[in-house]
Amino acid sequence: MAEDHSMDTPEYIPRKYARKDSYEALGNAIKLSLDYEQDAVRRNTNAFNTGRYQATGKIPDYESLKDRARAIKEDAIRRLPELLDTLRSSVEQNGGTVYLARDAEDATRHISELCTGYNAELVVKAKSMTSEEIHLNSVLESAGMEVVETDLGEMIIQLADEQPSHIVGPAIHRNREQISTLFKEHFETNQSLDSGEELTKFARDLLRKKFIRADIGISGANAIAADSGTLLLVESEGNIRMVSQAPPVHIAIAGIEKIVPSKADLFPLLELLGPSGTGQPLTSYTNLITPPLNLRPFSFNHNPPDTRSFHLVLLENGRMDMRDDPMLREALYCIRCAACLNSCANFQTLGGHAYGGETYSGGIGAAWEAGTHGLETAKFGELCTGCSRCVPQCPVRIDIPWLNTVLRDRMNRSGDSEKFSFVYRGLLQSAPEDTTAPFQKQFFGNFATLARWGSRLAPLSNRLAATSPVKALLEKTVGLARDAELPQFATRTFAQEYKASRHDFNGSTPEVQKDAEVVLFPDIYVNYLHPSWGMAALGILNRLGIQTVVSDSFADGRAALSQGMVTTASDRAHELADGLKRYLDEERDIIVIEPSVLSMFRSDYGHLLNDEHLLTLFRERTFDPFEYLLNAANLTGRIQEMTADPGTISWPPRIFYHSHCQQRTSDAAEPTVKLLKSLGFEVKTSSVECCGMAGSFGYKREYYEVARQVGKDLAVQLEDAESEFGECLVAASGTSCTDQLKALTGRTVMHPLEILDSLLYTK
Amino acid sequence: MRIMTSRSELIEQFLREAERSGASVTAVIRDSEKVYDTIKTLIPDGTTGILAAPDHLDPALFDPLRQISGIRENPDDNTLESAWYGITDAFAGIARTGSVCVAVTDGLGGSASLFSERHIVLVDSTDIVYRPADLLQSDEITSGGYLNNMVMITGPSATADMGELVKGVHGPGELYIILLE
Repeated sequence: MAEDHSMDTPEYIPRKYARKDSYEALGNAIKLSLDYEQDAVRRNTNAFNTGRYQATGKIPDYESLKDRARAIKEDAIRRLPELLDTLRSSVEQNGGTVYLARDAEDATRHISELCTGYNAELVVKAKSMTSEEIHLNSVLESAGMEVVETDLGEMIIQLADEQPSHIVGPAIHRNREQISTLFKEHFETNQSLDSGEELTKFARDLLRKKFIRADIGISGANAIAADSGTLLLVESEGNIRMVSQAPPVHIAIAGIEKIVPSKADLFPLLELLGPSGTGQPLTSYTNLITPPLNLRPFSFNHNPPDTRSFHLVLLENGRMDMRDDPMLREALYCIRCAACLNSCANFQTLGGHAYGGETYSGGIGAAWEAGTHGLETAKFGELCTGCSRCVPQCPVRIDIPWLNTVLRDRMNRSGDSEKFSFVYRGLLQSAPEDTTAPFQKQFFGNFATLARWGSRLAPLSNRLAATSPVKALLEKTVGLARDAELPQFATRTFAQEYKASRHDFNGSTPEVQKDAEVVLFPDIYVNYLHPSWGMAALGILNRLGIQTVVSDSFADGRAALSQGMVTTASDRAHELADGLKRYLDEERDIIVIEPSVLSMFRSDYGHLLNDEHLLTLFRERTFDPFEYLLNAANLTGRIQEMTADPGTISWPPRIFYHSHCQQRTSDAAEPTVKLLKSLGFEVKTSSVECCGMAGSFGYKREYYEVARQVGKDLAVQLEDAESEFGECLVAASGTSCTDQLKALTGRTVMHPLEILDSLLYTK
Repeated sequence: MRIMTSRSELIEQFLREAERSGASVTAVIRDSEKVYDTIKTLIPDGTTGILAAPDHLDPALFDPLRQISGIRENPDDNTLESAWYGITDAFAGIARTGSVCVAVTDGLGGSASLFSERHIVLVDSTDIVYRPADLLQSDEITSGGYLNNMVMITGPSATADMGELVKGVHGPGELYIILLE
């Protein structure tokens, strides 16, 4: 291998931005990722993501298998001290040794001593995130050993001196041309190094010589059975088999969280790992080995022994503290499949060099960095927008958005914004616990207050906010991106519109309120930004003869929650529950228009309210408008009879529809598609995980460009749909998705409620 | 969850999934001469290969293979590492994933299924289970200790790390499954 490679090319992210202990490092890494790595990351993560949907779709008992895996991991972490003892006896009985390392220094010192004890000159390594965590290679190299990474992705980043950009595919940020250039810089050869085939062949031949001559093989472990000392190792290249079979000495390094009670427990995990990770039913090789193996050792290395040895190094490095922390304990359940990375719109655009720390990346990565390197290094967790698309993908059911919300809350509390608070304490409604959060977070977290003032002062507020001095001021003071097109506050709120026209809606007079079949809840987005959506809903219900009562509007707490202001969010949730108490007590069905609010009610309130009965009502009695009309009220046929054909108002017979991320996670998007089809439209749906705007995320100065780049996929999909099918009506269900689509495409974006309302009134 | 499927459906699914994973599957009657005839077509003249004594199947099935020139049953390290093909048995097949399960014991199965460029593996259709977890239900498999050291092989070794999907990395680039019926 060629000698050291200087990192003078600006094309790749230097390791100095790997550690995200400052927002400056995060900002720099974001910029470099967007400039240089975006295309490769996007292509590779999307391939994993598509594969996962296909592969998990073929598991007949996918949901119960996930429950089983979750139960195994919960049980294992609960019994960890006992399992450590069991595992130690199992491995020792098999003829191996076990070392429990306190921290990175302890682990690397021990492994280094083991290696020098064998007079090792050449060490071959399989991919191991744990070895990345402890920076093992540099320690062994400074002890004079040659250390060769044998997973091809790891080999690439070893040559380039980069940190992994993905926990399963460490080099997904590089395309073939870049890999080819890297190899040509490093190796003098007559062989052609252009195609993937050629590069692989070259690496195979080079590494084969290393495998058979190596003194020691170092691997990680996907899981370890305490009762037998059996390691689960999954891979596709065969390098793990080589590392564990070819050299006479095998050292496995794993975090203590990888231990499960029994060999039988390995099976649900291995059945989930391949489908969730790379989208394969099983990866090419799923190894169950109980070392030391019985295979005859090779005689090629410089010091061939007669027998094989095995050493298991278990790493603590903060994990016992994570176990004692009710939130970080969740991260210990992670089986590192990377489904949360691949299904994350921000990760698909940025990759793990920006959306990651020194070792771990993606949504789950922030908790891991916080647990192993300290909370201050987890700043990249800001990139979790809470879109929730990872939640149904996690094979051990970790609520990753909630984990990141809690980490954000902890960072807010360690902040020092108190000194500014006199300025806005009177204006904003942060809970006392949240007043140390940065001003930007408190500004966005109190969106309801902002919207109330914005709407009261509209249209002046909208015009004012569009002027460049005000934009500059807003960017400077609250970090609002000056290029962002701001939401337009309604001149008249939904509540005012409704009040003015309530006589038109016979279902909503006070006399019939007690007989009303359904409650329409105007969320703050409908109330202050899109009153027309609320009026359309009311018009539809009225036409269909459904007696409706309109509740007061309350802030739901989503805005505060997404800033990590958990106490403020909880205050809002309690106020809202009080405000809707009479309807909840009567077990009324409640229609909620904004999907992010519906998902607050159905899932996030579980973290914010303590009343089980109330939570059940919020879960079971709240509906997306079309979920209510089609599923609960069963009105598909009636709607079809009562609506005009789209052609009568010269609409094209096609719709491009983008459902909201949280709407999809709550399984509430399908009825809208069904409805649009029943109206006679051909419906083309977007397949992006999230539009990128994600509430306030895309309005922030730091993330405006990220959000725009994330949104590119959505804009391209609309373009493709139209070039294939012809002009489409553009529809979306979420407030920020609508803003994003408008900003990216300049098109008129309708809410499906407005479409149905128009067709009902046209007939 | 146990999925009740008839044996013929299991075999159908195994064939389908194994082909999907990139393996080539040939169904052969459980007879040593027939096995020989099939394997002979998979071995180009002049190549060297490893014949790993079976861990699970009847060794008599392998007997006629011994006469193939170039086949080695007790190779030295150089031959083991550089042999072009390797013949092993599998103690089970997995229908849902199209995998074959090879024991990694003191025999040559572990090496012959790894170092060669073409891996030829024999699996009996009566040893096919529905999913990986079903391996735990077989007394023969659990009491035989197969699950201590084994590999579930699903298609040839492969990588996407070099910017495109490539078959054949450190392990074999070709997997031929002989399904005994």
